Formats: sequence, C-alpha cells, structure tokens
Amino acid sequence: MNSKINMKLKSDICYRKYRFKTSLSTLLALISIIGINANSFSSNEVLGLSHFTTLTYEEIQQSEIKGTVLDEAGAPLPGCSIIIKGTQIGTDTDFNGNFSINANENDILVISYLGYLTKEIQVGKQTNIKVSLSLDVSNLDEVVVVGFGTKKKANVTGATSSVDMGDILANRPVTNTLQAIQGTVPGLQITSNSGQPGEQGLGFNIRGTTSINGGSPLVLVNNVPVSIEDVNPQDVESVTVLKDAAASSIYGARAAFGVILITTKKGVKNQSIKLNYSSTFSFSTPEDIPEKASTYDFIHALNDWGTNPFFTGQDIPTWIGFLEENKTNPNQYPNGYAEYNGLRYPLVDTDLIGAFLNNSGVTQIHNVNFSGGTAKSSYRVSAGFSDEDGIIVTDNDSYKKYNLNANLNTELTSKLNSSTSIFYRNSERSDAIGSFQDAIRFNPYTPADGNHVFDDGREVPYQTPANMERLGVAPVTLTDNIRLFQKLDFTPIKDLTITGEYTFEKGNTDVISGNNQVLTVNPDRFVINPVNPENTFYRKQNSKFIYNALNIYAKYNKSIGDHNITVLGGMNKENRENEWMWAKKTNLISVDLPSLSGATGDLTGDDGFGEWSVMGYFGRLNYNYKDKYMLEVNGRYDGSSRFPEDDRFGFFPSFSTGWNVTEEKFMENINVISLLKVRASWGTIGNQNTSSLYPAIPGMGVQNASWINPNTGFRYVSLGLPPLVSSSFTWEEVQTTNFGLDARLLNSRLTTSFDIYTRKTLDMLAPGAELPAVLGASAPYQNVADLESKGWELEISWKDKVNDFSYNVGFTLSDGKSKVTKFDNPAGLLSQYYIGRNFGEIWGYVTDGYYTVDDFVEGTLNENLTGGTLKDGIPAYKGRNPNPGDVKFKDLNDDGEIFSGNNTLEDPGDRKIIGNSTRRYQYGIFGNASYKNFDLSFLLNGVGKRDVYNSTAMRFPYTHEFGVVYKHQLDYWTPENTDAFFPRNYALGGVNYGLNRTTQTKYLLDGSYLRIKNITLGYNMPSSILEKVKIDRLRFYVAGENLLSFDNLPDGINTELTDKGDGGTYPYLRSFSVGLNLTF
Amino acid sequence: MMKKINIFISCTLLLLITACSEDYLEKFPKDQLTEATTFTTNTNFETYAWGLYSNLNIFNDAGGWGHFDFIDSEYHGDLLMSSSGSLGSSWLWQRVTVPSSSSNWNSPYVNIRKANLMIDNIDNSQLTAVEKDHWRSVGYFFRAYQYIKLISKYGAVPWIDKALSDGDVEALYGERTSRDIVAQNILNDLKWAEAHLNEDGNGNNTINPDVVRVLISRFGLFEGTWRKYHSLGDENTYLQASADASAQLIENHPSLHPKYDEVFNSISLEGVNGILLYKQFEYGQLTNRVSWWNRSSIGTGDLTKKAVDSYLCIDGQTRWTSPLFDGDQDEYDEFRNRDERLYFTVVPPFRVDTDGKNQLTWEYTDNPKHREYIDLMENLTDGSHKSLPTANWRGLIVRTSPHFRKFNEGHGYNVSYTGYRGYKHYNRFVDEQDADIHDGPIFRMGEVLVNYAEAMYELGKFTQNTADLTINKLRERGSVAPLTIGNVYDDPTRDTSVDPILWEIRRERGIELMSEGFRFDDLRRWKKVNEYAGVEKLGRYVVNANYNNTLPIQGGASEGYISPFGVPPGFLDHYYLYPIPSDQIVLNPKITQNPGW
Repeated sequence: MNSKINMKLKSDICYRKYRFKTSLSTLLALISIIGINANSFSSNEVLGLSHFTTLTYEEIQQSEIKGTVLDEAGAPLPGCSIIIKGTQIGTDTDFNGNFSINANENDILVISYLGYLTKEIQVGKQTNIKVSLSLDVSNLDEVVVVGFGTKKKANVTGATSSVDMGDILANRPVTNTLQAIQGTVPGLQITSNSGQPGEQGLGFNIRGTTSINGGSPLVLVNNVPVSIEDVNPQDVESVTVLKDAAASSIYGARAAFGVILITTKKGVKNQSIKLNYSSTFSFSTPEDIPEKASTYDFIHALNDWGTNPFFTGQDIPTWIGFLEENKTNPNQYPNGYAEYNGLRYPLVDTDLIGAFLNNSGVTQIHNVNFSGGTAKSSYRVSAGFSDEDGIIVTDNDSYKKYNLNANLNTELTSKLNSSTSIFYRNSERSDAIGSFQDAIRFNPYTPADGNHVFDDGREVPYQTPANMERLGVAPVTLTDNIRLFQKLDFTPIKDLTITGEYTFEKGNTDVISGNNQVLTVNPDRFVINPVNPENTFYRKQNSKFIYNALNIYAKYNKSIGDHNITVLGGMNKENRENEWMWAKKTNLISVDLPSLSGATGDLTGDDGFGEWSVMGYFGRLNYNYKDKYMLEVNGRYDGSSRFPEDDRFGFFPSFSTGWNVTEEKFMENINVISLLKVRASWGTIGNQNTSSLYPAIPGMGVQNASWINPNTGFRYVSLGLPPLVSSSFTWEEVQTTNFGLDARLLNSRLTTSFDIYTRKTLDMLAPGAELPAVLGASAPYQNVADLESKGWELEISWKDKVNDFSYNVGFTLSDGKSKVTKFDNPAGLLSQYYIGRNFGEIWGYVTDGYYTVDDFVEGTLNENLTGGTLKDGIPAYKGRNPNPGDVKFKDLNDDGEIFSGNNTLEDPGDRKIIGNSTRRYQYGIFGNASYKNFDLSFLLNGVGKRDVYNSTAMRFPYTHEFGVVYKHQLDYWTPENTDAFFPRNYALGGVNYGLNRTTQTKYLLDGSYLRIKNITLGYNMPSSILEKVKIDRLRFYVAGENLLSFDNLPDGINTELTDKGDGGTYPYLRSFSVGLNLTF
Repeated sequence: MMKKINIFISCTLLLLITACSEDYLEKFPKDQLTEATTFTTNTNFETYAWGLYSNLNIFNDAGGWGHFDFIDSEYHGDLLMSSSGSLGSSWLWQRVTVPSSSSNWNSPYVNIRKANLMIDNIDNSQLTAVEKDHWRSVGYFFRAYQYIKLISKYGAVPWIDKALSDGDVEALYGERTSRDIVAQNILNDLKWAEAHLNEDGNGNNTINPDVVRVLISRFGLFEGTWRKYHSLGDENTYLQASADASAQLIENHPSLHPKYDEVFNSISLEGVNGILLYKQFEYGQLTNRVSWWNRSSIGTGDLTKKAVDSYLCIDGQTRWTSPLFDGDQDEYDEFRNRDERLYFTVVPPFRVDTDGKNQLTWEYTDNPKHREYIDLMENLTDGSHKSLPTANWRGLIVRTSPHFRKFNEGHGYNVSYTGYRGYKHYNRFVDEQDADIHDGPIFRMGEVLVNYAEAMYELGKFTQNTADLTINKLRERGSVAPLTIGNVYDDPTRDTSVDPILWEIRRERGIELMSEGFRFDDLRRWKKVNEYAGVEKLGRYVVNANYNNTLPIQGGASEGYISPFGVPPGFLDHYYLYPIPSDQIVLNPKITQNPGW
C-alpha cells in the first residue's frame, strides 16, 4: 500500500490528532523525529516498526472535497482535524462541522477529534463527505510512555500505571501535579505535612517503605529529572508511574524506588494556531479545626484536677465563683471579666482561632497557552499564574507562582530533528508568622484580637496570633528555576536513531526573614512583652544549584517476519552542585527598611556546599513475536560519587516478559475479552541514597565551639568529630519481582489490571550492629540490612456511553507492608530495627481499665484519693504509686509489676505490638460523566486500615501546666465519673498523668478514612451560540475540593497529614471554585 | 551541507561518550576537613581543641524544660528541692529504674573519643616536643573531666584511652575497668598534665596548670572520701593529691573577690580574683537561661528549712545557739543577723505595694517592717545585682517573699514550695527570655578552699592555720565571725557520728557551694544520703490561716513547717551507684550491672 501513495515531500509526517489518549505529544515528537511513514501505524509497535522512506514528488490531479463531521448524535463537531494521510496538508472543521480540502481520489483523509475514534476515509470519487465519529471507549491502541520511549500499552511487560491528566484533573484548583493525581494511581502514596499554600513537604512514595535510608521516586518530565514543584499541572498531558524494577531500571541510580514520568502537552505540526485560556477562582476554608472547651468547662476541669492557682495567678475556686455568678446573671460582668485582687478573671469565651483564620482563602489560577505547527515545526508555549492566599488573616500565608513553558520541535534535516524546551518558574512564598499552634493552644478566654488599654489610656496590641500576623515580619521565600533542554535525534540509516539529550538547570532560592521586635501585650497576663531593638534583625539566605545531565542513546529496531526486535543502548551522566550561604545582622536602624547595610549590630553568617554525580551505561533488548509473546531485558551499569572508588560501580539487570493471551487462536471467538495479558518481571536497581553526600569520607565539619574567644567576643571556630566510616560499602540493591494481569472485557468497556509484588531492598546501608557506647561514635554504615515489602495493586475502570450520556469510573486499591529481614541487632533492642520488625509497628501496654478505690487497702487512701497502698496481687508500674483513676495496665509477663523491661524483644516488659501505623488498603474512586453540555467528575480517596497513637494535647486534655482542653476531652475521670474515657489528671498535668498517656491499647486511634477530594460540575456552551463570537469552546465549571471526610479521629487531627503531632500544623483546606476554559 | 552536519554530530557524540572518565564521580566535600588535614600544626590543634572546651558545661539546661544538669542533682540531696513539678525527688521516692539507655553513660564516652582523637594524632604531627606535651596535657585534662563524671556515677567503667574503631573488638566488648585503675589513671593523667601544660595555657581563660589543679583538688577529695566512707581503702593517695593541688592554688591565688554574689552574677568574670576558668556568655552569640528560669514560675530550686538553718549568725554561732537569732516563726526575724551569703542565695522577706497588679513599678507598703531587707540589700549590693523586690524575667515586680506556689497572691512567677526561693543565679542584666549573658564560673577558689579544708581534716592535718586559710576567708566574705578551733560551739543538730570540726567544715561547704551541683555527690561520698535527705523536706514556719489554708503543713497541723510532699520512703542502699543502662549490658554481656539493680 505504501508504494501506492504518492507523496509530495521528501519526508513525511503522520498526524493523528488525539488518537492516543495518553502521551500523544511525546509520541508525536518521537514520530516526527524518526521520520516514520504513514504505514507504520498499521503495525502495532509504533516506534519499533517505523520505517524511514525517501519519497519522490509526483504531481497528481486534485479537486476540492467538502464535508461535514458529526458526532454519534448527529451534532456537528467543530475543530476536528482533517489531514490527508501521509502529508502535512490539513484543515479543521468550522462551527458547523464543515470543512473543505483539496485532494485527489487516491488520498485518504484522516479525521480526528479529541476523545473520538479517528476515522480514515478514502476520497475516491466523493466530493461531499459526511463523517460521523464515534466516542473512543476502547483504548486498545493506547500508547504509554516507558523509559526512553513509548510503547503500546498492550505490549508493556513491567508494572506501570498511567493517568491521563484530562481524565482526572478536570480543572481542579490545584497547583501541584502530585496533589492532582493523588488516589488515581494504585501504589502511589501521597502525604502532606500541612495544608499551607505552597506547601513543599509533599511526601510521595511508590509501594510503601522503600529503604531505612529513605528514597523517593524519580520524577521525570520529558525524560528530565525535575522537582515536582516545577510542573504546572495544566501543562501535563499524562503521568505514567513505573513501579517495578523491570520498568524503571533503565533509569538507573536514582530510580530505585520507581519513576514518575510526566509528559507535557506539545504542539503538533500542520495545525493552525490554537489559543486556550483557563481560569479558576476558589475560596477556601479550614477543614478540620479543633474546638476548645468553654472557659466554664476549662476552669472546672482545672479545679477537678487540683490545679490551683492557675499559672497566670488566678485562684481557681474564686474563678469558679465568678463563672457561676456570671452564668446566672450575665449582666453583672458587662466587660466579660471580673476583677479581684488586681487580677482579671475572664468569664466569656473568645474566638481566637476564628480571629486568626478570619480570612477566607482565595486562590486564582490562570493559564494561557497557544500551540500550533507548520510543515517542519511545531510549538507550544504556555504560561501559568497562580496566586493562593491561605485562610490566615492577612496574606502572609500565600504562594504565587509563575510558570513559563515553551517547546519547539523542528526538523532540521530529513535525518536530524531537534526539540528544544525552555522552562522557567518563579515563585514567591510567604509564611505565616502568627502561630497556628498558639491559636489552638491559647486559653479559651484569651483576647482574640485588638489592643489592651492601659489605665493611662495607652493602647498596645495583644500578642495574639492574629495581631502578630499583622504586625510581624513574615519570612518570604523567592525561587527562580530555569531549565533548558535540547534534544537531537539523528537517523543516519533506516531503523537506527541516535539521540542526544542535554539538560541544564539552575535554581536560586532566597529566604528573607527578620524580626521587628514589635511592642505587644501578653494576652494572659496583660503586661507588656519586653522588646529589645538589639534583637531586631534582617537575615537573608541564598541557596542555589546547578544541574547538568546528558543522555546519549541509540535505538535500533528490526522486524523479521513475525519477530520484532528493538535494541537500545546508551549512557547517562548527571551532576548537581549545591551551595548556600546566609548572613544576618542585628539591630536595625529602621524596622521599616530592613537590610544588612541598614543594621548596626553583629553580623553573622555561614555557608555550605554539596555535590554529587552519577553516571551509567544502559542497554535494553525488546523482543516480541506476533505481539503475542514479549520479552524485555534491561541492564544498567551505574556509578555514583557517593561510594568509595573501589565500590563505586554496580551492575543491575532486569527481565520482564508478557503473554498476550488474546492473540492466541483459541481466543479468537471469545468476544467478551478484548485483551488478556499476563506479565512477569524480575529485576534489580541500585539505590545510592545515603544520608550524606560524602558518606565515604570521614569529614570533620567546621562548626562554632560553645566557647567564646575573649579577645573578639565571638565563638571560636572548631571542628567536629569525624564519623566512623566503613572501608567498603556500596550500592543498596532493590530487587522487585512482579506478576501482573491486564484485561479488557465487555467490548473494552471494562479495563482492569492487577499486580502483585515482592520488593526486597538488600544490603541497605545501616549502622553495623549497634556497638557499645564506649566507642563514643555511631557504628559505621555498612551494607548490612535487608527489608522486604509485599503488596498488590488493583485498578478497575469502566467506560461507556449510553446515548448522550457517557461516563467512566475508575477504582484503585492497593496494599503493602514492609518488614526487616536482616539487621544486625543480635541483642534484639527495640530501639533499633530487628529481624521481623514490621514497619510502622506500635509497641504499647494493654489497658486494663482504671485503678479503683477497691484496689487499695481500705483506709490507706487519703481524702484526695492518693497515697493509698495497693492490695496484694494488683500490679503497679515499677517505682510508681498509682491512685484511683490512673490507668491500669495488664501484667503481661506476670511478674507482679508493670515495666518496660530492658527494652529488648526478649524482655519488652509488659508491652507488646498493639498496632501498626502503616497506611493499608489505600484506595481511590474517581470518574467522569457527561450528558449533552454538562459534565461531572469526582474523586474520592481513603485508607482502609491504620493505627495512630497520639499522646499530645490533641488527644489528651491538659497535658502540662500551660495546656488546654478541647471540647471532645471533657469526659475525664473524677471520683464521681469513674467510667470516663480519659484517665485521672492532676495539678499541672503532673504526678501519674504522663504514665496514663503512655502508648496503650485504649487510646489507640483508628486512622482509616474516606475523603471526597473533589467534585466538579461543568457546562459547555452550545456551539450554536459560540459560533457567533468565533469561539471554539467555552466551558464553565464549579468544583469543590476536600469536600467531606469520614474518619474516626478527634477534631484537629487531619487524616491525611503525615505528622499528627499536637495539631499545631496549618490545617487542610476545603475549597469551592468556579472557573472557565476558553479555546479559540 | 547535511552530510557535514551529520559527521559533526556523530563526532561530537563519540567524543562525549569517550569523555566520560571516572573523575566525573570523584567528589570531595568543600567544607570539611579530615583527620590527616587537621592534626598538623599547632594552630590546627588549637582549633580542634576549642571543640573540647564546649563540653565544659555550666548553666547548662540540656536536661529539658526547666531542668539544669548542674542544679538538678541537688534536688536529691537535703538542702534543695525542686521549686516546680508535682512529685518529690525520684531517688528519695524510689522511682529510679534501670534505663534502657542513658546519656549519663553515652555522652561522656563521645567526649572521651573527642579527646582521644586529638591525643592519638599528636605523635605524627608537625608539633615541637613542647607543643606535643602541651596538647597531650590538654587531651588528658578533658578526658579526665569525663571519666570523673563516669566514676562518680557508675564506679568501675571501661577505660578507653584511644579513639576506637568498630574493629577494636577487645576494647569494645571488654569488662569494666576496676574503680581502682580508673581512679589511678585519672589522677596520673591529671598530674602529668599539671606538669606539662604551658604555664599560661593558650591565653586568657584556657586550661593551664592551675585549672588542672582545681580538677585534681575536686577529684582527689571526691575519690578519697568515697574510698574512706565506702571502705575501699587507699583514700590518702587521693586526699593528699587534692590537698597538694589545693595548697598550691591557695598560694597562687591568695585573695578572693570580695563580693560573693558577683562570682555568679557578673557580666564578665575576666580577671576576677579567685576565678580560674569561666564560661563566657555574650549577647547574640552564646547565652544561657539560668537567670531567666530563676525568674520564671519554674525556678531553680527551693532551699529547705535545713539548708536555711545551716547558715550561721554573724557571731559565728548556729541559729540554735546564737543569742543573735530572733526566732523562725516570723520570716523577718529568721533572716536577721545571718551570714550574708544567705541573702544572696534565698530571697529575703519583703513586701511591696504594686496596687494589686502585675507591673514594673512598686512602692513601699505602709508597714516599715516590710522594707527591712530591701534596705539591707541596698547596702550590700548595687541595683543591677540583687536588689529587692525581685522581679520576674520580664521585669514584673514580685510583691512579696516568701511567695508560695500554692498561694501566689495573683502572680504565678517566682514562686516556691518551701517559702525559701533559691535565687543564687538571679540577676537583672537582661529582661528577656533565653538571653542571659552573665558569665559562669567553672572553677573557682571558693570550692578549692572547702576542698582543702576537708581534705586536710580527713588527712588529720587540719589546724587553725588551715581554718584561717580556708573557712575563715569564706566566713569573712559572709561577714561571719571566724572559726576558732578549741572554741567550737556544738550544733545541737549535728550528726553525732561526725566530729564537730568536720561538721563545721561540711557546713561551710554546703553554704559556699549551695545550688552549684555538689551536694548530692557530697552526701553520696559521705554515705549519708538516706540519713540526711531521706527524711521529710520542710519549708518555713507558717500559720496556714494566713494563706487561706492552702499550704501543706507537717502533720496536717494548722500552723507549723511546710511539708510539700511528706515523708519519702528513702534512699535505697544500692542507689549509691547509678544503674548501668540495660542496652549496654545487652550489647556487651561482660558489663555487669551495679549491685542491687
């Protein structure tokens, strides 16, 4: 057939607009590079089987063809692409779905439209063509990105998951790509430290615990490692997650714990310019705020526990008297407080949290891009701007980000293709200074806002979080990142492509902070807080990095009959240099004009450096027979600067294989199954993640001594103790075995994929056996520990269309757990890892109710119910004298007392494993539906099982002298309320209260949850209206983010936050947004 | 043209591939040195050694919120108790258990490693013989300083005299070195250092022979008396070493700084008489928190009734025997005519008028009685030191003393359980949190004098001359009449097993070194912990009705001595040595636990 088509140009281009839902642009880029001919699409392996052909020019008689493109319902489809197959000649449909094009009768028209199956029509004698496109539900030819290339999904043999951003982003008001894909990839866990705008602390890992030394997935954008923060979700076309060693090993040293491949949108050749604008406005509120007990309840609780007087001086019984009076006659104290003995006794509640968080957060996101292409080039330029202002009063908690992303793809010669990308990010993050911690911790009556008026009429603001926010200096972080990427593809002969990729990245971050020593009044004591101009300061910190990466690789593919072979080989080098310094100067001349030069006090500063590099050689062999049997072999020889010279390099092979059962003869008549494929893989990758960049060098860090030079008044500079370094250590090895099954059923409406894996992290760098402390140093790191993770992942999606109603639903579920299989801890110390230790396990006591009065010898308890003697046989914690209401633990080892033993496996005392904090059964449910002009999407995620222990103020009332009580903590033990949930407390939270809160079964929390992350409802303006204003597409939508969560945790402890702590972290935000997309 | 480009590109690619040499992976830190590059010149040794000085802690609050390593241990003795918290001393209330791991054991060994690393590298350095001796001496001093901590707590401990590697199995998994050997090694090292250190150290405020002598004075007395009262024998070796070192120091530093308070509360101790080594603190550089905590609600310890009773009247008589003592039922009477050091250690009684508010200013009350000690302190000191009324850390005026935690009259700061609020480390140089800048005396002659007196007594050599060289100098600083041997009054509260002269020597030690972290160790070496401290700790005399009946009084009486926590079960015999943390025994079974644990 190839020979029958006459071509006008020396090299040809195939263009199928949005044929492939996933990773189209990368595919196209590659296709255009290689110079693939039109026919190659009829074969299955897009890349592997392309042919390079030199074609000759031949004049053919042409005529004008007219046509209309309609959808299944008969409505015109504007903006469809019409291309003459094998050429770059094309046009688009207008608002009525009409087009006209000059073609001859041998030409084939390729008609494509986003989300629809592409159709090819032989022109023949027709002059007026009517085409109806049907919705693409099959995805059988879906192509996914794999390491250094793309592959038809049906032929993938490693464990991968792909997400089409268009399916799940649905214009959610998120500015971080990871947030956008949370819940949609099984086995990809995403956690976060706070809900603050611009939060950088997103934690993500693939398949759970990686190594005791940490290690997170490698994030690549178009084959370039980047910070996820740099990726504007609006530019993302698709995300592929490579989960097993076989899939990711080609990336070597930094890919040990999986790879996240992000493909960005690109322009396509021969397309008229398209301009797209989208915009979102959202309003956010805090999701999970703890509620304080009222002043009345709080003071009564203090009284019940015997705290008197209060730390601010008030006599508690007196206070209760006032509170009771106020309760019966509120008019008696119009100021909200009583005054006695020169002290205020506050009587009414304030809303400190409300005053601090009185600002509904506003986020706006704007994105504009244009893309298009000429015969030899394609381009896409996008710019994004987001401005998030959090919920805290003022806009100190804000994050502004500017993104610029430009791609240019040009054919330099018929054999040489160039891709250039320029990326720039500029962000400005401002951090709140008024502490959220203070807002939730201050007493329920503490003035929320405003000024204190002294007797002489002077007004000074209270030192409340809200006031501090207004008056203090918020630290600002300014970041600039620029990245240049150049790629050349050279095709010297048919089937061989040599590619060179070079990346240069430079980043610069400034953190500017200061202190203006603002005059405030302590809101508990109503006295001026001391300020000292000497303590005003200006501090500037600068850190920068330079990153260089070079990839050179060659690919050769050949088909001989039914045997298809692709060989890839190449090398890669990466180097990164970091540098930071800071300077600080005290005693500002003017707090309003802070600078180093404008300060007169001490100037201090420091700097630091770091550098690493890796290089590796890699090779891959792909073989498939009739697309039925597939085999892939990878090998990688890696070196890292982190290891000593003799142990620097490691070789890491991997193998994977697949069997596409549906290609077998016996499956031919089973129509219900359109794809059934089984996969198996085994592979290893090296992990070079070490705690220090120079772990092989026993360096003595420069540090300031805690001793002052009397001649200068400054601290002496000194040197630290060098760590012990083992003479030989090398790569950790991550070994994954994976079995998978992919299936498409019911006319490809149901797609499912299941993977089960074992991942062994071998020879982890760990301290050798813990050594006796007489060594005076930590044991040196050696390759001595192993861990094993086991788990499985399931994806199911359903896609269908019923008349005007089309929808898809996806479900992901995964589980995994890790345990230590080798660790040098013969003593079985619980403070260390030990063989058989499951990650996340929680050791604790078993609660056996409270001690009761009956547990004590009669007559020994005093009037305060303390000082009693326990009856024989009732165990007490070693060295402690329990009182009624204290928690009783089970004497598990029957030795008559409760203790922690010697903290070893052999003798854990009366403790045992009572839970596990690993997030188990993580799931996501998401979907889209559209009906006529309306569309709806949703995303839910959750965790099925998890234990959490928290002994802080979020969990227990009044843990210390300056503690607080929350509303959900009022059911505490008193002699009258012996059935209470919380144990007995004491004055200042002392005596046995610490022991009562120790890790135990009763207060273990259930950390499982289900969250409605997002619901979006959209409306597309009918084309009949848009046509009049020359607009292709206009869509409005409303969306809700973090709408609802179902969990069993107390208020203030967010289910998703990694660090529960005492709840003093910026809360998660719930937001509502409206937005629009405009294309013309 | 096209061909040229192709060739060019091919060549470039080839070049790039071959250019990947191994040097690419050779990276070294730019801001770190190694052993080989550090231990070369005299200057480098000095630079490294400043890190050793960092471990000379004073005013160190590493023990956690409101805890000071240097004072905390005294809460287990008889003269002090914690001014906050809700439980009595863990040692006296028998709550001490074997810890699974302990910094008391671990951190001295880290510091010993630091010293050993320097010592190990001396021989192969470029130093001259004199410099080698000097740095070896410095290393010995800092190593001994750590071993003294270990021997005091644990007795026998493994003696490690080089920076071990993980392959030194024999040393790592060895047995505890006997106390005899550890003690002897410490003494030998210190004596060697005394003989070989540069006379002027490394300049101002550095380790010199006199600084080593103080440590010998301290350790010799500790080890000597421990050996004597725990019947280990060979006490005189250590007592004599202590006495010799002290005698030399007394000769070198004959005069004391006249103001007791300024030893502990001075912006600078540079050049102050009797200060042998101090930790300098500078605003914005290195600060401490001892005065701030002293001026907070947490405090740095209350004195007990027993402690206050031990201060003599100015006639040199005890409060039980002196005609100048006016009685203890009234707080103003109790403080009259006493050793001046009492006024710098416990907040004297006073009351001022602040209009019932927490504020920075005050006025005298109408009652002249309330200003007796305000006036007295004005005569004794200047305003920047200890004047009355006291103030909290931000300068708010404390309205009265005694000021009780349980009855605070509307202000919760600077409160006490016993009514004797300790304030030895109190000054008002900075009215801020976490920013105290007064220097800390690490070694001072006050200690040397009481060390000398006690060592000489234990050696049977205590004479009137010794008394005049030591105790009487300290008494003079407190305006107390001197001790005259042969004319010693008999303290009715004296422990009858202790000779009256020794009793007075120990009294002087208790008073002079109050709140400096010595007392618990003193009781331990005298083997008197349970006898002296395992009893009910009392506060001052009160009529509870005056305090709204909120104060706990001994025996539940309506008036009498305050008893914050009642009668403790007492100090157990096996508590004299600390429990060895269980992880060390698990890791090395040759380490045996101390008896009784």
